Amino acid sequence: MRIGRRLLPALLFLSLSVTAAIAAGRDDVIPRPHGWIGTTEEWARSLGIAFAILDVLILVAAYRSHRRTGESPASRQLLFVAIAVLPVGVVFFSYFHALEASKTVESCGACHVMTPFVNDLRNPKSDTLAAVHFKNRYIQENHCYTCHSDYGMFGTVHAKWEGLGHIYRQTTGRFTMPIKINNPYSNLRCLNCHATSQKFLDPAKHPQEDLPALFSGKTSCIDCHGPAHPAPETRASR
Amino acid sequence: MSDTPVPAPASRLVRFSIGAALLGIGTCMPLLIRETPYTFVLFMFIAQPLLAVAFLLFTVKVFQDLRRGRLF
Repeated sequence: MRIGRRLLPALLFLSLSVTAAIAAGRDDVIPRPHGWIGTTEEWARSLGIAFAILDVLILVAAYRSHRRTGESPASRQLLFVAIAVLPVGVVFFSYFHALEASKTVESCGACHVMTPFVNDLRNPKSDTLAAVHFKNRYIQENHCYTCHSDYGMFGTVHAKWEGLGHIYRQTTGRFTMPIKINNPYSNLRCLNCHATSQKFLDPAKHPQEDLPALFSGKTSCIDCHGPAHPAPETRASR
Repeated sequence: MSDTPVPAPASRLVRFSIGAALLGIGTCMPLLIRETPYTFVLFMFIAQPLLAVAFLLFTVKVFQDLRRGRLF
């Protein structure tokens, strides 16, 4: 009980300080509304850091206590908190943060092999499909992830699983240049947003007789609306 | 003779457990500070196994103490 009474205020203080530090470090273009206290992701991240700092402090205190006085019920309680309780919080918040942050364009662009693709998105002169979507903010955030993951719960699970494979191949260098998309790009990813838009339903742009082929994937959207990304030979110069 | 229990000397298991937990938490920190594929790999394949090892060693120690009847 005494440990709990000391831990909770420390945890609250640490998480508040870290959230404030993260919020202060943001370079937002749009001002935040009055009373803004950060996003869920920022809170998860700062709670993770607070748990981690607290855990390190308790582990160091437990180690010193062990060296000085040997094992005692108090030091065992400390160890239980530091080895069995707090790490669960650290791992939980690390996952939460990692799964959210790994959806961002910055995260996809962190691998050198992706740099030409991310540069192309931001290139004012580029007219690739991805750049048009990015520059016009047709997709609000997580642009790479939105177009490269299927919809629904299993779409997310599949995307994360494939992402782990990308990380493995990037870390071990098991890939060949130029990189290619793993599976044929599914039209359903485009149609999830476009299928009900007036522009798409206009028969002058998409004749009724062409729709079954588009919905079944026999015709790819990219055949007419591509290229989605710069061609391999032009990637280096972008 | 005094009734106050004499504290047991710190065991190697506990020291290793503390060390593994410290390393595990230390390798979680880069991911929490900045998410990149590399910090994610560090977290997935180094930090989590280290924390699991720390917990396992601590559990072994608790069971050893329970068997000797000197946990509390």
